[in-house]
Amino acid sequence: MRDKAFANRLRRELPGWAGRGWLAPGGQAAILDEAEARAARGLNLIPIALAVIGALTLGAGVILFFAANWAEMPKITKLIVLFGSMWIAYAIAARGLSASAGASRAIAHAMLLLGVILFGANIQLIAQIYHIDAHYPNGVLLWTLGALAIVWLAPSQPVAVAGLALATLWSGMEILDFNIATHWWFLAVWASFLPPILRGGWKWATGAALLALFVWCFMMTLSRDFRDQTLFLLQIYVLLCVALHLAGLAMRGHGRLAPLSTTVARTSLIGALFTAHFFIYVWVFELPLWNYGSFDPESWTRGASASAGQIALVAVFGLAALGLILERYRRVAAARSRRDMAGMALAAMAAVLMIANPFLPGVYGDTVFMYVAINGAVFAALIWMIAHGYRTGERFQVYCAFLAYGGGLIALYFMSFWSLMNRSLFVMGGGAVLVAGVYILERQRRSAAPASTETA
Amino acid sequence: MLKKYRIPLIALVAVLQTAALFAMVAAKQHTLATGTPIVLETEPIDPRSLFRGDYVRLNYAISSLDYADVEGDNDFKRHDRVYVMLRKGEEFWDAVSIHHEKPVHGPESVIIRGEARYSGVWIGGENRGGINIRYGIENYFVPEGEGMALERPAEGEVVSILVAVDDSGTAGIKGVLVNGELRYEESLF
Repeated sequence: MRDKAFANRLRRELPGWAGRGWLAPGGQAAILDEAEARAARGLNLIPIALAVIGALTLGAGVILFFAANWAEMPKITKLIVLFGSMWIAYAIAARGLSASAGASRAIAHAMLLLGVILFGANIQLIAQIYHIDAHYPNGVLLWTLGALAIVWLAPSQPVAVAGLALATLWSGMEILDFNIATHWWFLAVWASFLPPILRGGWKWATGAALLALFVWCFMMTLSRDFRDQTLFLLQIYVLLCVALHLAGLAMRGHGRLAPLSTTVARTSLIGALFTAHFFIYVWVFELPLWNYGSFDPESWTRGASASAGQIALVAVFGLAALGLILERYRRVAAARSRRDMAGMALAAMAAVLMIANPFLPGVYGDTVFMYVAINGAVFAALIWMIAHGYRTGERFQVYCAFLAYGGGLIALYFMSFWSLMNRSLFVMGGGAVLVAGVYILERQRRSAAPASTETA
Repeated sequence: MLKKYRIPLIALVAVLQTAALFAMVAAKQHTLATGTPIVLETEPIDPRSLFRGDYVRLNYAISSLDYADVEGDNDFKRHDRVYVMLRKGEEFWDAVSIHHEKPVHGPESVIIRGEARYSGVWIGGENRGGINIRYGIENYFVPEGEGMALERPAEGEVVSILVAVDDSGTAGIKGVLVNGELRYEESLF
């Protein structure tokens, strides 16, 4: 839809540009042809999207139909309908994938998705018909493996997305319902989805894979086994996300991986900002709470603690992030971009801070220092991201950083770590720094912009 | 290469998925066909599953056992495998001993296999040393709206469950009894 709007805008603007002599003869028609062809390619996604929505709705209807456990239908009829509908969906998919027409392929992928939904419905409903009451996450695991088989043997992006969602659901059941704090098997299943995704260059599935990984990480944080170790888990996730974000940016120049670069970088950025937001909350640092004028002694603890495994993971992801940050620093230094160098130096400082944190003694003074230092680095990074995104025209980065900044401020307002007066001074100071930064940026932009742009 | 064999590969996935579904049915039918039938005392409660509709959740008398009331091992941890020896009582089959390993038993008893859900059980309003066990026969799926009839039986009605237990200790629900009469019976088709 965005391409269509762009083509329409070009159609309005191009005659004016041609009139000013900015376009070579024939350039106007060539630009319009290219823009319209791109818009038409975008519209090709609509049949796939509608077919996938149709398959999902149909699948939901089938699940509800059998969940009603309609006694009028004998078991044998139910089984014939269950297996038959799954086979019909796969048969239509196989036929559609053999055809070359776009609409047939869209329906084929929708039918593959429907087949996988029906396979899951069959697992649940056979369990219902025969009163099979096993360890119920295993049913979802079997469903996930059914999707995985499709992803490998009849490559389908919608099925890959569904399979990753199922894998996350399976692991969530094991972690939250059965208290398996670190459910490593998820990573094995998750990694099995990656080769077809990377081979196919599937952007949606790449985003879904990263999202599944982040959700899995976050579910572990909710496990009661890690109650006083939340800080270090969050550090691991932030460092992992930063490493993935920089890896995503580095993928831009690497042939087959290049189309996935933006998806990896953006999804990881969301993961990093979402996770870093939780550093605001004092309970993450196991710090005492401010209770109407004094620290509440009841809430005093010795600070967060890290296990040996967590320290190892902080070190691994921290060093990976640091390596990628330094590599990027080398590049921006070669390009003599001082602002980018400052940003990378800030990121490196935050990474070093987090790598050092598990080795510092967990006493009150140090954790307060670490709380202020880490959050200071996060807020500074957000301001840098806004400025950098504004300068380079990366709107996604600007929106994300603004959202994270606003969310951080709101959390800070409601948090009972310090008095309202202290919060007021802190927030006023932060606001003043931001306004001053915007003023400086705007002055720089005006001095750099040509006179014609100013008048326009 | 994958493109050339797309139709056979999709057929292969469909066959594998169908085989997995048949395996689920076959394993359950093996237990029902070869297992020893026993009757267990139960207290049903009526929830609903997202995918599978209404079902009656069954809490058996043998689900919560006090170590003081049964012989055998008494050091079970969460998720441990548990073998419970059952012997026919006056009306229902009762637990006589619990074990980590499957014990040798005579023809008058049956061994049922379960998993320790948690230790320390509430019996008669007090927390006592014991174990709560899941046998995989805790859910009985019923047509929509019929769960209530089993959850709250009419005055004077007693609901009990007919269970088949095979040689490995795996249990499966064969039917639902109301006042000793078979109300629902399970069959293959």
